Amino acid sequence: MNNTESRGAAVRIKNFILALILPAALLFLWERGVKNGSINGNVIPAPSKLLDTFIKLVKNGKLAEGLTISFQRVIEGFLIAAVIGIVLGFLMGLFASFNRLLSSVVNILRPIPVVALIPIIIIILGVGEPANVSIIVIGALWPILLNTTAGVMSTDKKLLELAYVYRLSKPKQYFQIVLPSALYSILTGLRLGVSGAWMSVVAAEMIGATSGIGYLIMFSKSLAQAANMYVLVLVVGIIGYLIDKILLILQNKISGRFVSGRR
Amino acid sequence: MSDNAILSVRQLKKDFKIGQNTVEVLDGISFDVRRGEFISIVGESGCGKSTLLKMITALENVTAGEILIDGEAVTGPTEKCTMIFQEPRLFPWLNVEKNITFTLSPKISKQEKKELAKKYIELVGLGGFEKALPSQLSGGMQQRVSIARALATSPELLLLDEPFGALDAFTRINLQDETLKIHQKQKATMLLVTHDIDEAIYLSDRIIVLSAKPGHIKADIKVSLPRPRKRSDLEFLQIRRQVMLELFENSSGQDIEYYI
Repeated sequence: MNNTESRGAAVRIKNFILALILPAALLFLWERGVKNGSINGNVIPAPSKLLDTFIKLVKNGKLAEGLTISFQRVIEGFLIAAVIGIVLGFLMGLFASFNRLLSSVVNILRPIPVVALIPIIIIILGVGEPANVSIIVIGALWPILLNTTAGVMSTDKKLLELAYVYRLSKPKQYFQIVLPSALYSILTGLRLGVSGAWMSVVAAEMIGATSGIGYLIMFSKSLAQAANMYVLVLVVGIIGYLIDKILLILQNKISGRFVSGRR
Repeated sequence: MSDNAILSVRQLKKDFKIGQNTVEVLDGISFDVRRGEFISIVGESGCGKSTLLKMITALENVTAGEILIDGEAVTGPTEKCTMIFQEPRLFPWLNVEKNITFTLSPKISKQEKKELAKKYIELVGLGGFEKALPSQLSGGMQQRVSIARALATSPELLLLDEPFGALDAFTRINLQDETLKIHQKQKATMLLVTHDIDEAIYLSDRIIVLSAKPGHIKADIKVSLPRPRKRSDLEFLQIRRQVMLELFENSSGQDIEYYI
């Protein structure tokens, strides 16, 4: 290892320690606060209690059971949203008239928080899987749709001019010029869509489900099991973070050759 | 129209609507290009020379008049004619070979496409770069790929829209020589749009001088110097002066001396 490398490693270690100081201090004060009674442990359980609870939930299988059901719903809803979003987004990006036809409806529906739609969906579909999945579809749809449209519209007009002069067929233009041009945007949309789906599944399960991680959070609240609740919310956050990180790596892997080719 | 004309332009007019105004870009120009000829169109920017090429490839509508390629009126892009653009316009995600096979007719078999690509990659001097991505090539090499791509479709009429304009002087002169070699070897008719007068004289059998606002043909100058031409020959400089005079009719003689 040469000098610059060891210095680089030293800087990384220093930065890592710096980033950990504040969380560690807060955890320490939190633990002390609960132990000496200045924080109500029934409302805000101590970190050590949360760790115990987490281990308990892993061991009794409750966490895995809830997560499995939630994941199934996310995958189902996300796949439906991906198909709808990519197909409609592609058409909206390609055809100005189709864009005008849909954009007013899209622009009115899009700003509505998914949570606000849950009661309506439950009234229409009743409590059950169709309602849960529909909520996830809506939560995942908008970023996929909008990013696909933007990606398609950003296709280099000069390449399409060339395709016209060289008399390439329309399908060839759409699938072999427009699609690769839009790929990075579409993948960005899918990544944001999965995050949206994950947030929506928790919301849907909290309001209208009898299983899944969102339901477990509400169930813990009604039984006043504060520690369970905190652990589950933290798990939701960490999983959301991991999903985004993993998909970002996937996105860069898949589009690597396309992006590196861009000037 | 002469029988031998691969391209006939007849009373061609082009107007652009800009806001409320109609701007005349081309004002009824006519000329013929004979098979095998190398013709250059020179003129200041805004004289409609690139618009003319776009109309020949049907990228732009014709306001009035007509364009005939091999006796047939242009209604859309045809396999007889293709264009090399100012920028290479390569597909960044395709390698050199695939960029060339990509635009070949679907009627050609896969094996034949590969052979065509190989042949034209060799012709433009890029042997060994078949698997390179455009981003790994210099600007001059990228333009070579776009030339190979155009030639591989074996057009009878090749339009060149200032293809060397963005290249450095060394690469430009190199590519001009290669274009000339290709012209003699392929027997394709070439129509070059350029604002580089030396380039036009060095390459062409005929130079059409366009004047601007609205564009009309100012002069049609035959260049009968033997090839290879020398840019410093007296005859070369005389033709240069003649083109300059046509282009800068309103300027005083002193200005022209300055340019020469």
